[in-house]
Amino acid sequence: MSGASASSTSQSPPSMASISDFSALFQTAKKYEELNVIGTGAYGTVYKARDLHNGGQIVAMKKVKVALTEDGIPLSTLREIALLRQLEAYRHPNIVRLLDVCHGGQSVERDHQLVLFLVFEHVEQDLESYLKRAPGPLSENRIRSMSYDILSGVDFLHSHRIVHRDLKPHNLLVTSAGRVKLADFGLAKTYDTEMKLTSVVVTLWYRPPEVLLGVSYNTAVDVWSCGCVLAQLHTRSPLLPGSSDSDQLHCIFRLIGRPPRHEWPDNVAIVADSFPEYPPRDLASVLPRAHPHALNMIKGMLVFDPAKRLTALDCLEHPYFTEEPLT
Amino acid sequence: MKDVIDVMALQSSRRERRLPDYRSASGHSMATNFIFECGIKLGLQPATVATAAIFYHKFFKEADKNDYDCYVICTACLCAAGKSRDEPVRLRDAVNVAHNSINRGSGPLELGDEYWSMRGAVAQAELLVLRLLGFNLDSPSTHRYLLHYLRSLQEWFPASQWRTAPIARTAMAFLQDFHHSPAILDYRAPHIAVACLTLALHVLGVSVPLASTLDDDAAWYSVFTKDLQKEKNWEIMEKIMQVYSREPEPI
Ligand SMILES: Nc1ncnc2c1ncn2[C@@H]1O[C@H](COP(=O)(O)OP(=O)(O)O)[C@@H](O)[C@H]1O
Ligand SMILES: [Mg+2]
Repeated sequence: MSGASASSTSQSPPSMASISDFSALFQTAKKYEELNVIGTGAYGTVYKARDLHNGGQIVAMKKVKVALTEDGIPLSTLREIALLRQLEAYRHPNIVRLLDVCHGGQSVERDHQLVLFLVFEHVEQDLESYLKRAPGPLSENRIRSMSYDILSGVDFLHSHRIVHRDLKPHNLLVTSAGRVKLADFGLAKTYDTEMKLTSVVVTLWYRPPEVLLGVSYNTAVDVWSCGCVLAQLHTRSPLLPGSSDSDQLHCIFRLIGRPPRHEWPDNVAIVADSFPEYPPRDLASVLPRAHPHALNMIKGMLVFDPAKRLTALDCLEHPYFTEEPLT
Repeated sequence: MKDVIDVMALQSSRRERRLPDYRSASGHSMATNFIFECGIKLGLQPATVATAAIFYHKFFKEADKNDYDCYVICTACLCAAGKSRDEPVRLRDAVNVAHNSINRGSGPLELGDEYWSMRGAVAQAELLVLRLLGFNLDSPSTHRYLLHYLRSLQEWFPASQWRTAPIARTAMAFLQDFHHSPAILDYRAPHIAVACLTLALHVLGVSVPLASTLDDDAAWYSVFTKDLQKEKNWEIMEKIMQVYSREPEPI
């Protein structure tokens, strides 16, 4: 194509300009100095890094590998990242800030992979480590305000038609002021490529029955996972620690009771009768310290039929939050 | 008002002009023409082609025009815009259309070195465009605003008058053509839509029914957007008109 240089008056046939000069610009990762690894998940590695162009501000940089297609960057990846950027405009207090997106350019040698860098604000720790480090039970107020933060973030995602799909303490970040922010969402289609790092085991503990049974699912999955997390805020240990897909379902039914046959979804391989007729347990005996309003709300979140589960917005309007002001 | 009518004449004379010769065009003078020609040939929606033009203007707000091959970047902007608006084009098609627009009359590009190097360049450039835009690919929905305003405006007009004056077509043409100018980045979507509409009404010599009963006869568009001052509206209209005298005539 024609040279765009100042000397374009020449009438020589246009040739393809060399694009190798681009490489300088692709060194965008140079903007950030990697310090140490803070997390390795199923699809990426998160580094603590220094933003060299911004006064050395500490950031969290997530490296994700994307398989390039014949037509370049996959449409789904491009759209997911564009959506994350769009969401960022709302600056929701319970969503981790996405500061920048860059990439390391195309590495032709490595099978047309693209390394994407998502640069987030650095948050002190995740909820997993927060709960581990807590010296004793969390105060009722702390539990309530963290629950509200989580549900606000989830409601925000749902109002933008995003399903988190993997809510769990590892994906919830806790700031030094004790506020909770959601992380690790919005890249479901980008992740669904073969880029999974095989060694990492995905936790099942926060999975709702419809996912474990392999039927279609919607925003209600996040409410289930939230219910599990909220329960965990009271006890500081996981509510439903199953050891396999089927054990996870046993754990669930031991708590909420085996659902009646008419609620069992059609077209699933596992039949209801393969589980004993577990009676439902009283949630108050599982979460002895919880406020009755908290128990009532969590119970409404851990309902087998996704259509009968509370929504995130229902929860935000629950007496648990409205009867007393949040402090 | 005379100025405005001259613009109308210019607009139509431009349409009849022969196809641009991108090979001899200097620098980036034909960049947006190239985007529009290729976008139309690729069958993209007008709003998607407009998005590609916006990506182009944003890219060169950051980057130096001398550093990059104009038409490689333009082609990449079309690819990225297609994906961002869920109207993807095949890289192969984009490269072929670009090549044929630059080399008029030559046949389809053989699957040789030239094809592969051009294809590689466009693929790389797409990543570069995404990088420079920081993946902010949200395109302003100016077309949707304009459609919405047109639909409301239509109800104020007697059906016969609306049918005889091509208000919608003219306003849409102004909007599309405004994408040739980087000034499109400087204004908000509802304001641009109103300016295109106002300009179309002036050019066609049509006034909005009952507008004269208002204190200020420009106030009709306050129904659509409250914060557009009359002066600002004129400023945008002037920027739109400048598009028609923008480029050097091809040799
Ligand atoms: N913004 C952040 N600030 C601090 N730590 C973070 C941040 N983002 C992620 N982490 C840490 O890195 C881990 C993995 O990040 P995540 O985004 O969940 O990636 P993955 O998809 O690999 O699970 C998290 O569990 C958390 O401990
Ligand atoms: Mg994670």
